[in-house]
Amino acid sequence: METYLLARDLNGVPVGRHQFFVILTGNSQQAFRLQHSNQTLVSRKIGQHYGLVLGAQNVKSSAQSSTKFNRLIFVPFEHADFSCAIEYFGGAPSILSGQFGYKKAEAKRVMPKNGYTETQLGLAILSAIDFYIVNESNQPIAYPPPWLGKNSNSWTNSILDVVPAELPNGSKARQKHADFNGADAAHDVRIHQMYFKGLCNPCTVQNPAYR
Amino acid sequence: MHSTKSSISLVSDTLIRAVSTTAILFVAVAVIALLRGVSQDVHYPLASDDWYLVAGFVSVWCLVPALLATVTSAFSKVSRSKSYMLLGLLQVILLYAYSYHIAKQPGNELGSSPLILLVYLAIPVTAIYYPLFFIGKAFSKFRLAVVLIAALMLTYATIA
Repeated sequence: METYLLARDLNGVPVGRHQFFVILTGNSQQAFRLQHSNQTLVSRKIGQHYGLVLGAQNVKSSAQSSTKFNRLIFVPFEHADFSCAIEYFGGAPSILSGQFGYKKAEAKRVMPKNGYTETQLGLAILSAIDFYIVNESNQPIAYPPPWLGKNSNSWTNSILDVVPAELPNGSKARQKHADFNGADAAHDVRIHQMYFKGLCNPCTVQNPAYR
Repeated sequence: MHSTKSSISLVSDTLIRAVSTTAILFVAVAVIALLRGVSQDVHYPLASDDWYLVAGFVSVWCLVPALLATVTSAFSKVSRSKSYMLLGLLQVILLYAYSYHIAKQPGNELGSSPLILLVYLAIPVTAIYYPLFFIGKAFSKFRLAVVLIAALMLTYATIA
């Protein structure tokens, strides 16, 4: 497994960047079971390899939903994320490539800490996401306006903080590691670790002002 | 413009106002970024490129109607304030129309974009920008000081 943190342009908007993970899983399709959230993620072809595309999105509440605010929800293989991942790993141009001022996705390879394998790192990310899905569904996280709360860029970096990833030492270096070129709002704030490390009950409310 | 001398002074006056007002916006956005850093426990809020991209974006956005109003009032009998209001209003209408167009596109991420903040703030920002740009002397110690502070902050951001 190889883990990457990617940042892409926002879909349909000329300003802003969105971060997400790509985990390359090998040369054949594989399924990954998320036990707590009862989901199965199946790797798809990304360029020459198979892999998973994992990100959090600003999802509008539906008429049936109990919440009346947009939520920060995990969405695997989101259309623009997937398309930009394919482009980055040598596939077809992304669906965003015709946008005004479009810049290709940037990526940083995420390596495991000493004593861990790349597979353990990838599985730890999936485990953190598994807990997040359950915890967020119990205690929904409202999606904030840019810079005013914790968003999808905070989500990726919050996960990196709880998995065995090799990260720069010192808060300034760590912050720079999370900061891609362009306005990637809220890369520097974190969702509470309890959302990723286990099932929390109760979970501390995140972005309370936007609920 | 009636003489070469007044043309030159108009250009230099406008240029100085543009630079100093842009500097004021950079300092203002940096202060907001610092306050955000304090409220959200961010240790190095000015070490990111986000704040100066926002400041640059807002500066260019605001500068356009101010420059056009300067040119319009110089070449016509329409006053500077009326030109500015008219051009500012036109700009806001175009922004809202553009945002509406984006919002109708499937899969758009307007709600996650800094552009949405400009949509919320376009009218107050335009209103605040007018006195910052046009009122007071073009050359003043205050404007010079803000330019120096903005230059220092940008230097820090570049180095950090």
